Amino acid sequence: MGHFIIRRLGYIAILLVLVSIVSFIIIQLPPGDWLSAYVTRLRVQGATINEEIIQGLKRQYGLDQPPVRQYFTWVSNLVQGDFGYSFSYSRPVKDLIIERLPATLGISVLTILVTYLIAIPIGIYSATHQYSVGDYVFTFLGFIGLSVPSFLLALILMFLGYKYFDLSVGGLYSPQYIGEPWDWDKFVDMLWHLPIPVLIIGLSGTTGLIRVLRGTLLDEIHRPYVDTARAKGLRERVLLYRYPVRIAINPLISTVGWLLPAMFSGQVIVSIVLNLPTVGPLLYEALRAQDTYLAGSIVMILSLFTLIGTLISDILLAIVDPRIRIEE
Amino acid sequence: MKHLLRLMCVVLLCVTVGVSLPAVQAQDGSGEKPLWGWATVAEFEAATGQTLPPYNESPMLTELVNQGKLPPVEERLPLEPLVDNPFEAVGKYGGRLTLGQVSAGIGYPASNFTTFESLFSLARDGNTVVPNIAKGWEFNEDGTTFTIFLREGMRWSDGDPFDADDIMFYWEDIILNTDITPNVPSRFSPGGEPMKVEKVDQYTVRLTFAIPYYAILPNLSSVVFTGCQGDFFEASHYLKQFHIKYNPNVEQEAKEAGFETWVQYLGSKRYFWWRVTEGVPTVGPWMVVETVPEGTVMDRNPYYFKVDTAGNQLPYIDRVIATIFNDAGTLALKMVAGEYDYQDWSTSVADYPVFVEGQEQGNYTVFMAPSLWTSIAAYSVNQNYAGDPADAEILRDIRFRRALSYSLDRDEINQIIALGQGTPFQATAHPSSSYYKEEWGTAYIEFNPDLANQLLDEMGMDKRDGEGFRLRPDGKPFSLIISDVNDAIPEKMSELIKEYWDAIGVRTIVTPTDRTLMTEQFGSGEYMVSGWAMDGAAELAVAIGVNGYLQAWQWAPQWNTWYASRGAQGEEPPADVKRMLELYREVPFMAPDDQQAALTEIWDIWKEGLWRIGTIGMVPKPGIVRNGLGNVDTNTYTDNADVGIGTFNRHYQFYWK
Repeated sequence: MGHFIIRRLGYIAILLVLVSIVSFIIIQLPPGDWLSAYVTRLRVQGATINEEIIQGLKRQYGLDQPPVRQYFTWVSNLVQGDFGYSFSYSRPVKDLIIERLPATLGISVLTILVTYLIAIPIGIYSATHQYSVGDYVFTFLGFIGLSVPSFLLALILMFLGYKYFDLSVGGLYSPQYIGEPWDWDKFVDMLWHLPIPVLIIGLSGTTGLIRVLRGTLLDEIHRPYVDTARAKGLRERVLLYRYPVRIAINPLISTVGWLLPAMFSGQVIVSIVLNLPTVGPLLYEALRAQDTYLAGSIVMILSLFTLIGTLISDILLAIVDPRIRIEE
Repeated sequence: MKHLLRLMCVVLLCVTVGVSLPAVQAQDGSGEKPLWGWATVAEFEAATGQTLPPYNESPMLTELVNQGKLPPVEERLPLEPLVDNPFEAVGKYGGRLTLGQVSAGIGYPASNFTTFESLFSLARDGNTVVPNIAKGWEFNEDGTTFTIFLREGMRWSDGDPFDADDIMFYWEDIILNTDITPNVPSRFSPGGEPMKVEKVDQYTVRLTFAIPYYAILPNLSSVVFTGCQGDFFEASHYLKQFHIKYNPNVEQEAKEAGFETWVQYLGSKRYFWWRVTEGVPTVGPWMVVETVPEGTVMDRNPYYFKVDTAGNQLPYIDRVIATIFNDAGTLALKMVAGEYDYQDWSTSVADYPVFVEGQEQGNYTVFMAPSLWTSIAAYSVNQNYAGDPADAEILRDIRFRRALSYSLDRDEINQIIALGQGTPFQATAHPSSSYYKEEWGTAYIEFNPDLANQLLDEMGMDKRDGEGFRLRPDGKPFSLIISDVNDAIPEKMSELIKEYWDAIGVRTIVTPTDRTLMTEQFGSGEYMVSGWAMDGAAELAVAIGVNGYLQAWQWAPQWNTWYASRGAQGEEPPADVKRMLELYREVPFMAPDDQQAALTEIWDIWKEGLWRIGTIGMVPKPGIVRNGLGNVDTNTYTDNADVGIGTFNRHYQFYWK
């Protein structure tokens, strides 16, 4: 086990170096640089800018350096835990990410909890009551949830919220609370804004999970060991939770690894649609604006989390499922 | 046929929501609205015969004064504050205002209404330069020296004095520092020689030029965002800590802060009108107190240098919140939802019915604001096309460009794109220019497909392929490709244009192109036709020499390079273009009379060249204003980047009734 983990950590280091090179190249691929993208954006929106002023700014943004040099500066700072600074915000990348972490993690953790709380009971119910009315209803709803893109759902809910509940849905709280210190009113207002994003982001995960759980559980329920246990007089409920469910949970654990990066980025498209101040839209905007260091740093953190998450789920699986340990 | 359907849809939409479109008022500044205020209290009293009442301030500030956290208002205001004339009435203090900003990186347009102030400014007519931060100016007899008079006792938002040192710091430590600015910008080098800037006394600065330079005045008056902080003065007391001349350790500090050089570190701390910079003091009516993921929070600047006619220190509104909208679609949604108290920028006339429909629920009123763009979309025909030489020759043929122009039914375009609110127009000077000739706007704009076909036949493009499209004179197929940047011009405009050009037998293909890629191609010449607004066409913007189109930008990359490099690179243009380019280079440095004559000649050449084919111009844009907000001028320009955003609707005058 120890060797296994050390070897995996070594792979992670190598992969991160490769990711840093590839992501830097991809971010640099679109024509122009941050400044030209910025100026063009101003131009299409009708701002006439003196070209000379812009050229004069290149040096103040460090864009007169060759890309290879920019890369090495960035990487050597990364190693020291310094993510560089964002052109768009003229602020350190670290501050920008930290600023968005509470909202991002808060929504993500809530979403995951809601997902599990809904999906696991329903999944178990569906499997144990296969082809019952309840199973059909959940299956029907589940397929709808799986097939409707979550951003579309977000748009529909936003419209309904606006039309019938007079709710300003975008954002985490109503515009009048922006910049105000946290107090009870603002907190209550935020609680009102939370259900829609949490439900929408949670829903697609929930329905997928129900299907997976139902499928694996159905496989297990009809195994001979279950019959044996039942024959020996184990109570149905104890039997179910102690054996088949434990195995059916395995797919959940193997995807725990994906939760880590997902928690960090939040659902990008839904967050954009719902105007949530999370890390996802930050990455999206950074990529569009060619904000090299900001985009690169977020990609690096996401990659790191993905790799660590995969490692964690491998370790967890080995702990939870003795069969995996033995095979190794 | 397709566009007829679309037209019907538009008409139906208007009918169903019961909209009657208002006529847009003349934009000549008629009516009784005050054009501006007075440079000083003395001027106000001399002009009106009234005595200005004692200074008053927001209750929010009185509290701070009583707590001893702020000096009293008399000490915060300059000795001679500017007296502003409220648009409708003297307002009331208090409340907050929600505005929009493009993205976290782009503080625009809110930043221009809140923190932007220039040395001189423009009156509401958009053409008259008036004092602003500076209380006055003086040219010598031959226009070779220009003296700026600042206000004694004026302060930055942190209370530090604003004086000649702030201009001198900008000039000596930013512009003349070759680490920051490799070359002195040409607008500060009339006659090819950097101007001299000297501090006469603490509140007087004199500029000396090698040749007469009258355009320095509009160049410091917010025209194209000039003369503001970061463009002619800096918060020197604040920036010195980031400048190597004043802080030898700055290189080390820059590295610790995550920057590669001190120049980048300093750059991140400077104020620029187009972004939000935390920490830097300003002279605008509001100052940034916090940036949040949703946008920016700004509070009143307790040291703002303007008072109203009742002696109240401006602004009236205590706090401004700018929230991010990112793109035009989201912006329209937020406007309809009533999220903004005032928003008139980056909107589309096509959304007018939607805005009107949302008026009641959103608690706002819609207005139509005039435009300075002489074409909402003008199609640049590349004269230096880098592709097939035979295609390039067709693009250079004036008959071809005339045919393209004659084939457009601009009245129909006006109905479909602009609900009939625009004017069929050529891409040229704005009609409000003092030297304007009517023929410039009407040249080649009649809808005459027969003439267009005849011109193309004359060119030798009379043979057609099986589908009825014209072949090149050499008998090979010809396709005209429009590189379409969809956020630069109205949606569907290029498809509409394609139908007209197809109709005269010119096979047209619309290729969506990313705006940044397009800008690169404007340099390389790998495009045939591209649509973009005819902006920068207002008189002052043209006069200070920043109109890129008159420098062959977008329609002739090689000639543009030749112009920019003064003949060292690129291709030498033909005689007419060369004459136009060379004249335009001199325009900013001409005496006013010569300048008018030169610009007349330039626009005459432009008219005949027809390098950019105009569609419809002066298309008003809808804006919204929250009910109950006072002193709002609804006849303001919205796309007024040409003349400095914020110089028309003065947000510091806004108040809640």
